[in-house]
Amino acid sequence: MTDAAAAGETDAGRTAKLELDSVVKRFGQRTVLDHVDLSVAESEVICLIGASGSGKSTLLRCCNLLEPIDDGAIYLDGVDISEPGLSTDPIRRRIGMVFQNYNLFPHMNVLRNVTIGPMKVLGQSTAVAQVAAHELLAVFGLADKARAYPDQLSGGQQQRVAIVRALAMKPELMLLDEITAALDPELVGEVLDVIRGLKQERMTMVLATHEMSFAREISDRVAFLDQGVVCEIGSPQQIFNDPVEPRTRQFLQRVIDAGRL
Amino acid sequence: MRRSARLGTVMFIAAATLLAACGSDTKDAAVPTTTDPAATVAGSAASSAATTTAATTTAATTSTPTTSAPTAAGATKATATTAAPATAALTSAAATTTATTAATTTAAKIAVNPATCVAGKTLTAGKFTVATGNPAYSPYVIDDKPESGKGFESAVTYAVAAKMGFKNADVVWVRTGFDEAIAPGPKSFDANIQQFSVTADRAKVVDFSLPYYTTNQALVTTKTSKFAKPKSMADLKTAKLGAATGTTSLTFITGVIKPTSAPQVFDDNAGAAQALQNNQIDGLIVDLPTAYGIVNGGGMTDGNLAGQFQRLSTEPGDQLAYLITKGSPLTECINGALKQLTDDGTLAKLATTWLAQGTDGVPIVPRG
Amino acid sequence: MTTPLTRRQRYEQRTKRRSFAIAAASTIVVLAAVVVLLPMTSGWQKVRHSFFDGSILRFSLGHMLGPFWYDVQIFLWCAPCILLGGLSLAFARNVRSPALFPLRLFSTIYTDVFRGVPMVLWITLIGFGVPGLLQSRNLGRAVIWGSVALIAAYSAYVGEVFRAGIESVHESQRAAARSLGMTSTQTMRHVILPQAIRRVVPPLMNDLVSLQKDVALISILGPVEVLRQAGIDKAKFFNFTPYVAAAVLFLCVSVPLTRTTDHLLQRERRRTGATAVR
Ligand SMILES: Nc1ncnc2c1ncn2[C@@H]1O[C@H](COP(=O)(O)OP(=O)(O)O)[C@@H](O)[C@H]1O
Ligand SMILES: [Mg+2]
Repeated sequence: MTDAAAAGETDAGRTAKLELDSVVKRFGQRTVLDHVDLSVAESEVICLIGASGSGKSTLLRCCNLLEPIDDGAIYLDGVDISEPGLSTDPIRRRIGMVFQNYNLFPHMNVLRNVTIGPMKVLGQSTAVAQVAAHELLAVFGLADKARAYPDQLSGGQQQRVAIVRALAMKPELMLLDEITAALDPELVGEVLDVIRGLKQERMTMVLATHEMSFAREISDRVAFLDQGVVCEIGSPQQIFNDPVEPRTRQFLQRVIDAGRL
Repeated sequence: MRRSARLGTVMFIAAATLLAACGSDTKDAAVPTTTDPAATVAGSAASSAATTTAATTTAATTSTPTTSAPTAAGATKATATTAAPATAALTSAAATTTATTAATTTAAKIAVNPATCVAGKTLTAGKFTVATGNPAYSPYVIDDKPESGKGFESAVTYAVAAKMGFKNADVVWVRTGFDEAIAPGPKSFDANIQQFSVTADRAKVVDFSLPYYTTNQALVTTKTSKFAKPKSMADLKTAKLGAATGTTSLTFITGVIKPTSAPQVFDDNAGAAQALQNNQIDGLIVDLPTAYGIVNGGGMTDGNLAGQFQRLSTEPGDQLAYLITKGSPLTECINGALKQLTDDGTLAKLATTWLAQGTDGVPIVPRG
Repeated sequence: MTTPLTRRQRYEQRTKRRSFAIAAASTIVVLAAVVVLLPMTSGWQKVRHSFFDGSILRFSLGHMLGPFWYDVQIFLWCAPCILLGGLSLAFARNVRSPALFPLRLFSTIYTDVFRGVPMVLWITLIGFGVPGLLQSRNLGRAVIWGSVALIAAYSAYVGEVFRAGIESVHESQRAAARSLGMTSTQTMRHVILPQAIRRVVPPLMNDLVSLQKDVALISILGPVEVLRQAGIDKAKFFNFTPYVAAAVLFLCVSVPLTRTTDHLLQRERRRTGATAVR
């Protein structure tokens, strides 16, 4: 067995843990993350809930180093990845990220969208990357879409491709930012099924979501963010049935009023 | 053409012409021309068809102005040549090669009295509207002020106007570019003077007056150039030469000098002079008076007027004439005036005044 | 047996027929107006002779092919250099690292200066100026420095086109690429640029077509290219027909060029795109 294959195999199952230690993020004068502490264990699934603008996306982008943080530290498997000057690319390739608006590459077909990362970043050959991509696409019901372009797919299909694209990098951790928010209700299910599958495979995941019932179902823990602060964190039962913080209660009440729980 | 005019008009035949002019017949010979090879002579009017022939003959004679052994007509010329500075002359109609026909035709009408001829034929009654270039170049127009009467073309124009009965104040100057002068449609001028050279092709499209000056093409180099003192035209075979676009100087390079490398062609003499300074070309061909202007006018720091080209008998010289709308009734009036000015020596005198300084004593580059 | 047309098919057929009729009729009207009215103008004969003289046209077309090929050659080596130069400028103006601020400043000033001065002046300044410094026949050739001037100035224009294209690609595309672990160079190369270039092809064609025409400005420096040759012929015949001949030659290149790119773009759009909205 070649080294590459061996590495691939071990990677496949590997998941990482993530720790945020008093992370501060400011945009100009505005503090968007205010001393956030959060630790995500291996294979743990954490959902971030909170009002729009509370800092969920920013938190995820900071974890992926798309935004530099102003204070505190972020540890991936115990290593400080927020050290300024550290090369970010090797770290990012270990973390998969999926965006609300899919962000597929419109000039590439589905197969190319999925293989570009493994080929350019991991140095896989076209053949190896394509075989793996076809397998993944088949698992997620996209086998016949390999040659299609993003504009020719439905929203649900596009979001699944985006997830496949991230998974093709064999990430140790997945960050998912409101991945169902842009989807029609009947398409939400197909994407959530994908996440359920990932949980089965023991992928460490942090999700920002507005799907409260889904958060309750899939999370190991739920964190409620309010104005850049982790206001309350706990098991889904505790957060949804018995929230301690008045702000959590208020938020959930609004969600219930809106008919979303 | 206009540029040629500016630049070098020379090309025609210096030697030949002058000879021709002089020589050309007896009649012409009579004319007071001094000519140096370069310049031509004033041929007086070629009155008749005879002129042409005469011219030819003469030309034949003169081959090398410098040494020239004059033939029949020659004697006069020979002397003239050596001694003489450029003259300006206008040859009469006959000389022109190409323009021969046109010229001859005009010649026939030359009896016209310019003073009585113009009535009702100008753009504005009582005014003579004359166009020149923008800018107009020295020594043809001094300081770009044609209304001053200073500069050869300006002076000639006031003389022509006077013969046609205009006061100086009646001469109105306008400016045109080259394209504007030859474009179809109504013109803004009665006559256009900016060193237009007469050629047969052009004469099909516009009227030319009789020539008011005939000149030779000349070579400008840098002082240190290996082409600074050409012994003959053959020395220039390997030279990279330049000229301004549309000029007869350019035609002279491609048709007469025929150097091995293609000529470089510039918008105007300023560009060509710059290329010469930059050592991008070896030499610049322009008409003789213009060459003097370039070398001495501050356009170049180390310009050198290397010589003027000998004109063969078969060549009419670079004849400068007024450009007039095709078929204009005014052409014969202007020709009448020019004829009188030639005959009474005024043109030759004006040429001496304005052009002699630059054209006298310039060495002649023989053919071959 | 043919199936009967649907309501929509019938409607589309009708619309197509009508728009064809309108196009044909208006073309005929315009052409007829030109053919009938033009000769009725008082100056037509003169204009026809000055601009459309058959024998001069044939003469010019014949011996202007050589000079035109010269234009095309200059275009062919300038265009790739300009695209490269423009891209480099666009990159330089897009650098994000504060350490590279001087590079950004330089490219900004460069762009302002080179776009702010007319092409003719650059050709004259560089084309006469640099050879004046070099004083070398070989290194000072007009075509070299004329090309340099064209490349230098056109890079500034094209650089702005590329920059606009690069900036028009949404930031989220960069985020998506970087989150896969691509370096910023890989992101630019595989994700941003391909999209940017597709978007700027039409304005780029604008610049290339006008480059093809501006190549003629090199004639200021001495070489006889097609427009200069036309000017020489014009001065020879006192007739503008040589310019018409030059125009015909230019059209022979630029029309196929623009039509082909349009076609390619269209095909690309059909291949990757969703259904067009009418
Ligand atoms: N690039 C940015 N520049 C300035 N402010 C930003 C930027 N990104 C996010 N913000 C601000 O940070 C706050 C948190 O945004 P975000 O993390 O997107 O919230 P959420 O995802 O919870 O809706 C918002 O008030 C938003 O306006
Ligand atoms: Mg968000």
